[in-house]
Order: sequence, then structure tokens, then C-alpha cells
Amino acid sequence: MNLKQEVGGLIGADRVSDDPEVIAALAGDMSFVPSRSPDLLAKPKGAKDIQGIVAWANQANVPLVPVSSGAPHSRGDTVPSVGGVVVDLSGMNEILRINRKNRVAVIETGVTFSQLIPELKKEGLRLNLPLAPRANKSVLASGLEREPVIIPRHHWDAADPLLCLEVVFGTGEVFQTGEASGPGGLQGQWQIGGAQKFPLGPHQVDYHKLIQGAQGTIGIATWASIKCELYPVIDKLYFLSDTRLERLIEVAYRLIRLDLGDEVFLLNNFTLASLLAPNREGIDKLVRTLPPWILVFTVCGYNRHPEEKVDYQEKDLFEITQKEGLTPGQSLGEVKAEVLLRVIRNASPEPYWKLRYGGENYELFFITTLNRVESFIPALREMAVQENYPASQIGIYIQPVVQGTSCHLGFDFPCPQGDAREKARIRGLIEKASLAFQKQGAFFSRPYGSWAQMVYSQNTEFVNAMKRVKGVFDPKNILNPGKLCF
Amino acid sequence: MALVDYKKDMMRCVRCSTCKFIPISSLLKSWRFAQGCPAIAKHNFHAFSASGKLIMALSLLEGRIGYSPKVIEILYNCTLCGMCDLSCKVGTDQELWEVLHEFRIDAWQKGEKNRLAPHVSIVESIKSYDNVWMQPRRKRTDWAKGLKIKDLNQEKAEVLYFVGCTYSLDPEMRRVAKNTAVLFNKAGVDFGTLGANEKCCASPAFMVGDEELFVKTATENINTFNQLGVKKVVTSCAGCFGLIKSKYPRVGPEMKFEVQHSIEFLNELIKAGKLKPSKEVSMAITYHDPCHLGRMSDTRIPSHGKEYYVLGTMPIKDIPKVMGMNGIYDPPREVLRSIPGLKLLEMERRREYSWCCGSGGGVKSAYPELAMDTVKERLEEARATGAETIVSCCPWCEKNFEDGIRASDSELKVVDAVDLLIQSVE
Amino acid sequence: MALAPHIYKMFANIVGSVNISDDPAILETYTFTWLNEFNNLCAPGKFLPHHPEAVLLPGSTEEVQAIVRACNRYGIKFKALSTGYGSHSLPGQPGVVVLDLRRMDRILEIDEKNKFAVVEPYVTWAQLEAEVIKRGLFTTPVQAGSQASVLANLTSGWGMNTFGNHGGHNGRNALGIEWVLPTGDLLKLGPPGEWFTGDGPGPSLRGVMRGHCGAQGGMGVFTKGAIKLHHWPGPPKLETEPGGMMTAYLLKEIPEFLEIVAPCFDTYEQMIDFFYQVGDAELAYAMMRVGGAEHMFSLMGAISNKEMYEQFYSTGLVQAMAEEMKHPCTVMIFANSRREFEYRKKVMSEIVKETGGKILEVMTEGPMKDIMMKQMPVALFGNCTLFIHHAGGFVISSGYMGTNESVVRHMGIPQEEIKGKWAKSGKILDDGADSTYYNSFENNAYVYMEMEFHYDASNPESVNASRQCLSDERNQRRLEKSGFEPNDIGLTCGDYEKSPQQRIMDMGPHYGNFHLWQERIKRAFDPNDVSDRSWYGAGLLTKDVKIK
Ligand SMILES: Cc1cc2nc3c(=O)[nH]c(=O)nc-3n(C[C@H](O)[C@H](O)[C@H](O)COP(=O)(O)OP(=O)(O)OC[C@H]3O[C@@H](n4cnc5c(N)ncnc54)[C@H](O)[C@@H]3O)c2cc1C
Ligand code: SF4
Ligand code: SF4
Repeated sequence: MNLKQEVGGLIGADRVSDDPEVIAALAGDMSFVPSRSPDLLAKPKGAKDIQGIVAWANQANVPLVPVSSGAPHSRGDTVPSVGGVVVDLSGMNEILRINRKNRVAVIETGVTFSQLIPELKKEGLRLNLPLAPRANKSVLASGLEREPVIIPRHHWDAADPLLCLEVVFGTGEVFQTGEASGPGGLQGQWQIGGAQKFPLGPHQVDYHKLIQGAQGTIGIATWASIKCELYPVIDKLYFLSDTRLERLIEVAYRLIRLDLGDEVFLLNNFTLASLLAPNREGIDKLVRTLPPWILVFTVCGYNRHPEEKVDYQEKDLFEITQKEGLTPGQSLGEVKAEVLLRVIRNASPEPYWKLRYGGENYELFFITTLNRVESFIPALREMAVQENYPASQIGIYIQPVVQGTSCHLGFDFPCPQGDAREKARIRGLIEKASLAFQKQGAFFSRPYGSWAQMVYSQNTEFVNAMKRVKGVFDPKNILNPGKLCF
Repeated sequence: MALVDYKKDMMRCVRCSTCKFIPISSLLKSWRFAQGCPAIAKHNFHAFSASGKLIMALSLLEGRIGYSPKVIEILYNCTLCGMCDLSCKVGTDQELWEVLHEFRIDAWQKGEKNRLAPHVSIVESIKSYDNVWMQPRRKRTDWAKGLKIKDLNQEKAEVLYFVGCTYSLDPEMRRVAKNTAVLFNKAGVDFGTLGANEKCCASPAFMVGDEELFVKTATENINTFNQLGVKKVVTSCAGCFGLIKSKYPRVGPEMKFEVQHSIEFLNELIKAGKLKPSKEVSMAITYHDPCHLGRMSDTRIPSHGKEYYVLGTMPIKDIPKVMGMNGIYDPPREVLRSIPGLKLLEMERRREYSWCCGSGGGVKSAYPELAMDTVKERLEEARATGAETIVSCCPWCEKNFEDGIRASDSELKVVDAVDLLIQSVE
Repeated sequence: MALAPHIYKMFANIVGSVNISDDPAILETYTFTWLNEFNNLCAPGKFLPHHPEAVLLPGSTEEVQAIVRACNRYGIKFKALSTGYGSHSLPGQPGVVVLDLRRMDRILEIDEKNKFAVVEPYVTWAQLEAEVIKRGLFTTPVQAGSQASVLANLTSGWGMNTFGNHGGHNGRNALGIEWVLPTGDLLKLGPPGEWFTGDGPGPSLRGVMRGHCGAQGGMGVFTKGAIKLHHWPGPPKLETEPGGMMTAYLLKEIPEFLEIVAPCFDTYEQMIDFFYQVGDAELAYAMMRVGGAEHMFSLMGAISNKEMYEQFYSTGLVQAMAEEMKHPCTVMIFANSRREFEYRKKVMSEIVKETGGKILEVMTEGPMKDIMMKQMPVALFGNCTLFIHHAGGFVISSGYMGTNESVVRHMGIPQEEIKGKWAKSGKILDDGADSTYYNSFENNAYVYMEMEFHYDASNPESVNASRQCLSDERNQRRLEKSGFEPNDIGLTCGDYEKSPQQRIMDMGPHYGNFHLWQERIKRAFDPNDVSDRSWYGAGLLTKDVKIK
């Protein structure tokens, strides 16, 4: 029997494919990770299917590469390292529950941002979103990747907004984490008022934290509960701009410290233009009208005296900006606050905003603290100049995370589609900067592609410990081998 | 009266470690000065904390361990400062301090091998000379040479000035007694002393667990004081004061006199306008609350384990709960504030949650290293206030401060509050 | 069995001879802890049957590592403790050396801007609090008290805390952690030399660090850790003065923009509704309920039992209040500005009204006003533990985390029945039927509930009655469905009919066999089985279980 028949036999022949075109599309992505073809695509329908595939893979010693989101992928984590079966979970896309009272949604792994956002809104809820995520990006996968989210106040722990999940470990065993553990299943738990909101445990292990950030190497998630927030009744977005970052960062610190404002993040003009303009020309034009740095924050009112809530927040935070000698505004040149507000409350319209300038985009991101952000930016610009990359075309996004205890610092390097030389240049720049920044204290907490080698070679104890974990949950290294340090 | 009376208190210890610290966050001012118990601060093993001693006592009662040199070492590496008692009582009715004391009585009674040589010699000194310094009785009057003071063996007065062994016999400390008497005279106080017939208050005997000697001496002293017909017994020594005020009442005979520390009395004299501090004494000082003038001076009547239940199992001890809040905290401060030019800077641990100087409980004689470490900690706390001088009202504290300063090359100076007052009074 | 002399000497070489002891008197004090009388090994007494082999006081990470490596080499088990107030703080088996971390007590860093502090194991909540409020930050102290260890809670035990509504659950407040693994290897979670995060690179190994209940000494030794802090709207110093019934101290001045609101509700449904509404509106710095009036008053610790009884119980005052005050809650509003304060107060009173809450006059006037505004903040901020010990006996049923509705269903309603029966038995403290403690986290994202009861730890009859009460609670609750209830993640804590470990064995199969997963992790991280496993997973019960 061949692979196709074997897996087809487990989950249905119509759910597997080895069509060369399909396979070719899975062989690479928009990253520096070398392309390599899988042998098969499998589309399981549920946990049972996945369990069957994992059990089979353990016996047959075939690697499995789980994928939840639609293309284009950009980080190399879904590119097979050694062939095997791509387990495409995008078809498992049922929204299992939206619960306004407990501010939570339970979703299958294939549920996308564009699918969930409007459904939540109907219930008066919203997600703590990444910055205008790809429309076909899996919400659950985004949580698994610890993608930074834009309301720092609601980001209590790096794991948020992902709470509890069901997972099929590399051993083939199914497990529910946190409050979802235990008898009754989802339905039984809901019946007695449960909502899978407490993520820790069960008992002395935080399983969700092991599955998160693992790039599919520990287990395959089938569903998860996602923390939601209320949808504002009144919504105001403000820009605060300056030629230098320093004062904006001070303001950001204060806002977060005092729980003022909802969304809070900082962008350079290029990123803001990329979010707003439809194409390269538009971006180029808009950039020129924008100040170098922009702090974006929203002030929201909810169902109880929303005007008053907005009013006191505005007054309090204007005092803060005043201290810094800055004045927030609801427009920035021709950019109107409402427009950006719409953008950040939704998934990105096509084409994805990061791809609008060049068609391709490459990323450099890591975790640091707000007060250190400025030590990286001039260095990066200098390196860009050295590598002949136009510094003005680097997008910069600074997202305070975990209630402001640290921040995500992301650089985007747009690249003309199919331009191999430019891609190589960007790659050189990113690799050089990554190494330098790591030395400077940047933390590559999500080591995609070649970052894995860079990061793990620095920390053998961590690697040893991870291997112990891997040995427990995926002893045969069936799940996405070749990623991280496995 | 026996250790076993407190078995319930031992079993009710929850081992929360509160007795190691200043009890609640809101009292704390810094990480640095958070410790409450000198014994655990030095020795670190839980056994050295008050809770550790409770556990050892329980273990002893249950026959799991016996007395050993280690048990004795732990038991007496404790200044009996009572800080633990306050911390524990923030939430319980446990009589922690009584257990520590009862444990010593038990040890002392259970055999000579449990008695530490320096303690035996002090006790012998009290027995032989009525003082702790092995000095002939007649020397007690040396400090008073040239002063006009009534001899209450012969005459009557309203106030007995009970000088105490150290203020009367220690050459370096005598000045305090003298200054006090001069101030009393200036204020026109009708007072006198017992001269060579003054007896040790028996505090050291009480502290080391020689209950027999304590009871005997205390009874004699009470009877003597009653016979004198004085209204007040005023003493300059915080040790004497704490014992007479707080512990004599448990001995038995009615005390027909009021007990005051001289600083309280002097404060009254100032308030009454009989003493007028007017000369400027410009100095930045900090004030150290001696344990026995402070939290340990509040009269404590032990329950001896007597209690009854209400509400099912809520034990009621029919005694007032004494935490030490009613110690003598304001009078010394008021006296100091009345002196022009003095700048009083407070230490973080003060009043009822003051850090012990390290000298008490028989520690200075038996475990000088603990006394030294403890006083150094206090000196550092004093220095952190920015003060140049540390002021107190207890000879034991003051002597230990001197030793600590000598050993640590500290620039701080030590004085008794009376030394400052006399400079200021015309 | 004592340590062989050469091994003792080796340990002494590591920590210095004054920092090690195997003297029986010293060891004896490491066989006694809170709730030992509930531990099947001791009950109803207070002492464990076994002594540790020795107690060591390491002073640095390097020393801890050296000890742990030596333990691996010689097959000696070890158990670390911080301040030792956990009921799981002592070795659960013979042959263990104790690492008392008392000498590792420094605050290494307070990053004011980025809101975290880095501490060693013996830094207490009180110490950290004193330093951080100077910088306008606050902590998340646990009810175990201000004298308990921050790092122990962050890594090794539970994490529920009074200020969780604004400060979060300590299980979620850990950032960078330094950790001596059971093998002696040193693992740093998060970036080397930095503390601002503990997650990654890649999966977060915080996942194998603690879980819901904490590692309880079964996974090596945590030597340093960063804790996320939250904003403190109050003054840099809290001035107190002696007085009051709760902690013996009261606030000299009530901070600006601080108010404690104490509504009560006729039904649990109303109360739940209130919690949800306040959570949605993000009004509370802290939000909890502490049982009915009879239970609440029994928590006043600074006055003696006698005074408490005479003033409140024998006068009938408490019983009268209990009649009127069903489901009382305590909510702290603590705002950053006058405007915010006014808004929050306004919305709060609106919610109280809408949800059927009553604010009794007696709570806002006379002595109760003083208690609520001047004493309660000291009890909450100061976080005094001891006010729960009338007679050294305090225990909770297995605490329960979840939504308001699910916890009340599991804990609230059945508890009253069981507790009420036992309260009337005369064998435990009669503080009424309603003695559930309830605390909200992350603006009511989830809540914690436990039933609390008091007994006399020195009275075996009372100890046994309380054990029976706890057993009744567990049995009733878990008999409903396949032995266990959905969402029931109230795990471990003292128990009686069966050992806690046996309960875990019983629960495991209904909860994805978590006990076996833990056993696999244990074996992977502690191949020589030296980090005392007594309170990890099902402890000694899974030691020899065959796992594929
Ligand atoms: C009355 C009372 C109320 C309580 N309330 C709460 C509460 O509200 N919320 C809550 O979370 N907990 C609570 N607890 C439980 C517990 O006391 C706390 O979790 C607390 O953090 C323990 O701190 P500790 O310093 O006493 O820890 P310890 O008792 O010293 O240690 C606790 C556990 O952690 C292990 N451990 C400690 N330090 C380390 C280390 N550095 N490395 C490895 N292992 C270590 C110990 O072996 C032990 O198993 C309560 C306990 C009591 C007695
Ligand atoms: S404070 Fe009291 S209850 Fe707590 S450990 Fe000390 S003696 Fe025991
Ligand atoms: S009396 Fe003082 S030294 Fe002795 S245990 Fe108590 S606090 Fe420590």
C-alpha cells in the first residue's frame, strides 16, 4: 500500500491528495527556509481522524506537518523539512461557541479571523487581535504562535488570548488542557456554567504553554477557547506623533501603566502607510505625508455611561501627553482616525498589508522592552544602508505586550516578488541584524527558520530541557521534525 | 505552672513564619529592615525562631527529643525580646513569649547540665551580693556621692528611685543615675533610694529561668516597696522597669505602688513645668525603644493554659490579650522633642515593633556573638536615618551599643535621654 | 538513617559548616508544619514520622546546584522550601535532605518602567511590597500572608491572591525564571541574563514549571524569578497606627481615590450577576467575598477570641447581621484620578442597584465604616495571614477555579449544606454554614472559590471532625458524575479518607490521565528521582507505574 491509500484508509480517500500541483504549493513559502515537498496532503475532519493519522505515523515513521491557516505562509514553519504528510486542518473550522457572558469563544483550529470577527461582533465581543491579521489566518494558530496582540491591558500573560485547548500529542493521545480537562466534554462543561477560561493545569503542568510556540512539534490542536473582550460602544482612535520615539514611548508607558486606552502600539510612517494604502504607489505617496513615528491608541466606552468613560480617560490621558508636550489628534494629515480604526478592528483586506508594497515581505522580530527599542533602530538602519537596502522602506512596529512588561519589535522588509537578488540581500541583512541584536539582548522568542539555530546554539540547557519535553510528548519525533531544536 | 500548660499553644502554631518578621506589609518600610527576630536572623535554621522553639518544646513533651546541648544552645540564643509574640498575636491568642520563658524554667529545673555557666555566675552573684555585677553591696551608693538624696531606709518620701544594678554599679553608666537624681532635685521631687539595701530586681534570674530566685526576690522587693509606703517606684533601667511593671504582678503580693520609668516621670515633670528644657542641644538623634520599656513592659498575666470553648471550638483564654502596644513609647519621644535643637529621626522598626538591641535574655553573657550581630543590625538601621547619635533609656541597650560601635568603627554616639535632658535644663 | 559522614562533610564543604545540621532538635523542626494533622502520615498529630537527613542552608544558585548534583551522584533525595508555610513544604518520605532557602533573600532588581521585580526564594511579599509601592507598583500577595515567599508562589504553589482582579493570578505572573533542574543543570526561562519574559524561545518551559498547583518541590529548585507587578494608585508609604480588630493596625489616612464597597445579595445568582457586571466594567482593584457575616467576623484576628466573642457573637450582633447580609462581597475601587474615581463609584452603585445588591447602613456608618475603610485596607494590603487561626486549625476544601457559575454550583451551594451540618456539631468552629471564600481574577475572567473552616489543631476530636467534613464535601461533589464533576479542577490539598495522592490516582483517568503525563515528565526531568516527589503528581503512587 502507498501512503495515499494508507492515510486515505484512515480518514477517507477524498480527504487525501498527492496531486503534484497541490504538493508543489505546499513545498515552500515566503521565507528563507528551503523548499521541500511533502509526500501527501491530508485533511482530517476531527480529533479522531488526527489521532488515527498520528498513530499511523508513529508506526510508519512518517513525519506530519500540521497547518491550519490558508496560504501564503511566511515563516517556514509549515515547510516540511523531510517530506511526509501535511495535515491541513483548515477544514476544521466550526465556531463551537461564543459566550458573551464569560467573554470567550471556543473555535476549531481552522476558524479564521475573517470568519470569527463578525460573528463575535454580533454578540458584542471582539478579539484582542494581532495587527490586521491575514484574513485566512487561523485564530487558533495565531494564538499558538504567540502573535503579539494590540490591547496590552488585556494581555495578562504571553499565552493570551489562547486559553484552553484540545490537543493530540505526538504519541497519539488526546488531551484537554486547563479548565477544559475533566469529564463532561465541552457540552457537559457548558451545561454547568463552565466556559474553559482558566488556562492553567490540569494540576502541575501548563500543557498549553508547551504546545504554544512549538511550531507543531509537540501536538496538534483541534479546538481552543479564546479570550474575548467587549466590543466598544464608543470608539475613538488617536494619533500622537513625533519626530523621535522617546516621548511617544514615555506616553505609551503611562497609558499602559494606568490602564488608559485599549489598543496601544507604535508604528513608523512606512508601516502606517502600508496598513492604509492599497498599493506601492499609494504607500509611497502617503509615507511622505506622515511624521516618522506614530503612537496609536484608542479610547473606548462600553455599555455603562460610555461617554463619561471616554471623557474621563481622554482628560486623564491628555494630561499625560501634555506633560510630554504632545497633543493627540484624530487625524494625521489626510489620514482619518476612523479609517485606521476600521483597519485594526478587522482582518486585513487582500492583498495582506505586508505584501502590498513589494508582493513579498520578510520579517525580523523579537521581544525586548520599550525602553530598549531605540537602541536597535539606528543600528538596523545603518546595517540597511550598508546592505544597500532603502531604510525608508523598512516597516517598524512596536507592540507592548504582557501588560507592558515587554514589547514586540518587528521590522518588515518588503521585497519585489520573485526578485531573488533582493531577497538574498534582505536575507543577509536580516541574518546580520539578528545576530547583532541577539548579542544586544534581543530575545528571539519565536525562532522561525534559521533563528532556531542562532538562538538554540546559545542555550544548550534550554535545548536539553526541550528535548526532554519532546521525548515525553512526541518521542518518535513524528511532528514537524527539523523545526526548532528537534 | 509548667511547660505542659502551653501544649495547646504549641500545637496551634501553624509554622507561618510571621514570628520571624515585622508582621504585616503595611508596617514595613523596606526590604532591608523587615526582620523581627534576632535569633533566626543570625542562625537561620527554623529551630531558632520562636516557632522552632515551640516545636521543640512540643517534641520534648511528646518524648521525641530530650534536652541536649543543642536544645539549650537554641533556647538561650534568644533575647526574649518578645517581637515574635507581637507578630504572632496579630492573628492569634498564642502566648508565645510565655512558652519561650516556660521552656527556660523547665530547662533550668530539669538539671544543672542545662544551665549555662555565665548564667549560673550571674544568678550566684544575685544570691550572694544582691546585684548582677559581683560587687559589694556598699558600692551601690557610690554614684550618689555629693548628692542630696533621702535614704528611705531612714526617712519617708513619695517616690522611691530604684536605681538598678547597672546604673549604680557600672562606672561608665553611673552618670545616668546621677543626672536623673540631679533632675529630680531640680524639679523638687520628694524622692529617695534604698542605698546599699537596694536589691537586684532579679530580671536576669527571671530571664534565664531561675523561677525560684525570681519569685523569692520579687516577693521581697514588693514587700519592701509596700512597706516604704511610697506612691511611686521610679527606675531608670528599662530592664528593672519592664520586669517590675510587667512580671512582678504574677508573683502574688499586691503591689501598692505605681511603677514608672524615670523617663515617664521626667516627662510628667516637664509637662507640669517643673523642669524646663531650654538650652539648645543641636544634634540629629534617633531613639531606640528598649524591649522592656516598650512591648515587654505591658503587664502580662499568663493563662497557664486555662481556656474554654465557645462556638464549638473557639478557645477563650480568660486573660487580656497583650501585644505590647501600651509600652512606654511617647514619653521618651516627648522628652526629646521638648529639648530645643534636637532633631529626632525615627528608625523604620520602632515602638512596639522595634528591633532588639541584642543584649537581653541572658544573651550578652552567654552568646556575645548574637548580641554583637543584633546590635550591629540596629546600628545600621540607626545610621540609615541620618542620625549622629542613638538615644535610649536602658543601660543594657546602651552598653551593647557602645560595644557594637567599638567593634564596627561606627561614628555613631550613644547617650541616655537623661544625658540630653540635663544639658538642656538650666 | 543518617547521612554517611563523608557525604555530610561534602555538603558542609558546599554550604559551610554553620549552614548544615543533622542535629535531631533542628531536624525535628522540619517535621512539623501547617496541616500536618491532616496528612495521613501524621494525623491527628503534628509530627511527620520521618526526619529529614539533614537541613542545608544554601546561599547561592551555585551552592544549590552543587548540592543537587551531589544528590544525583549519591542517590540522595532533596526538598527545597522557602518560608515553609505550604502544607507541602516538608519531605513526604524518609531519606531526604531539606534545602531551606532562607539565606537567598535578595531583591535583585525592580524594573519600575517595565513593571517587574526579580527576587530570590526568601523574599517575602511584605518585603517586595514595601519596596515596590515606593515606585508606584503593587504586588499580588497570597492569603498565606505577607511573610510568605513570592518566588514559592510564583513557581511552586498555587497563585490565587487578593489582588488578582487587577494584578492577575500568580501562575500567570511569572516572567524570567532561573531554575536548578532535578539533575542539577541550570535552566533559565526566557533570554539569558534578562528577566522581562520567561516564554520561549519556542515552547514555553513555564509549561513544565508549575501548572495550576505549582511544582511543590518535585521539580528541582527555583533560585531566581521575575514577577509581573501592577500599578499602585496609592501613596509611596502607608502610614499605620495601632488599633482595630483585624490586624491590630489601621490606616492613619485613607488614600485618595480608595473606596471599599460592600454590597450583599439575597441569592448567589444576584451576586454572580454583580461580579460579571463589575468585571465587564473593569471597576475593581480587588473583588471578593469572604463568607457570611458569621464567618467574616470570625476572621478578626487582632482582638482576642474572648473580645471577639463578647463583642459580636454573644451579643447576637453577628447572627443578626448574618440574617440580613446574605452573600456579602467586598470590592475595592482604587483609582488614578478624581475623574476615574467618580466614574467608577457611580457605575458601581448603579450595578449594585441593578443586580439587587444592598449596602446595609450598618456597613457604612459607625464602627463598621472604620473597619471597612481603615482596617480592611490594612488587612488586604498588609495581607496578614494570622487572622484565620483561632486555634491553629484552618483548612479549605479543594479550591476551585472556573467561571462564577460553575464554581458556585460546585462549591457554593453544596458547601453550605455540608458545612452547616458540621458547624452545628460543636466539633469545629461554628462560624455558620456559609464560609466560602471567593475571589475574582483579571476583571472576572475567572474566579476562585473555596470553603474554609476552622477547628482546634490541638484537639484530636476536632481534627477528626474537620477531616470528616472535608471528606463529606469531596465525596458528595464527586459522586455526581462518573465519580467526578465536569470542570472540577480543584485538585490536591490536604485530605483524609484517602491520601491526596490517592485522590489524584482516582481523578487521573477522568482528566486525561494527567497523573501519568506528569509521571512521564517527572522521569524525563528527574531520571534519578531525587527531587522529593511526594507532592508531585500522585507522588510515590506512580513511582513504579509502567508507562510506555
Ligand atoms: C492559611 C493559608 C492560606 C493560603 N492561601 C493561599 C492563597 O491564597 N493563594 C495561594 O496561592 N496559596 C495559598 N496558600 C498556600 C501556600 O502557603 C502558598 O502558596 C505560599 O506561596 C507558600 O509560600 P511559602 O514561602 O510558605 O512556601 P513553602 O511552603 O516554602 O513552599 C511551598 C512549596 O513550594 C516548594 N518550594 C518553595 N520554594 C521553592 C523553590 N525555591 N524551589 C523549589 N521548590 C520550592 C516547597 O517544596 C513546597 O512544596 C495558603 C496557605 C496557608 C497556610
Ligand atoms: S507566628 Fe505564631 S503561628 Fe506563626 S509560626 Fe510563629 S509561632 Fe507559629
Ligand atoms: S524573643 Fe526575640 S529573639 Fe527570642 S525568638 Fe522571639 S523574637 Fe526571636
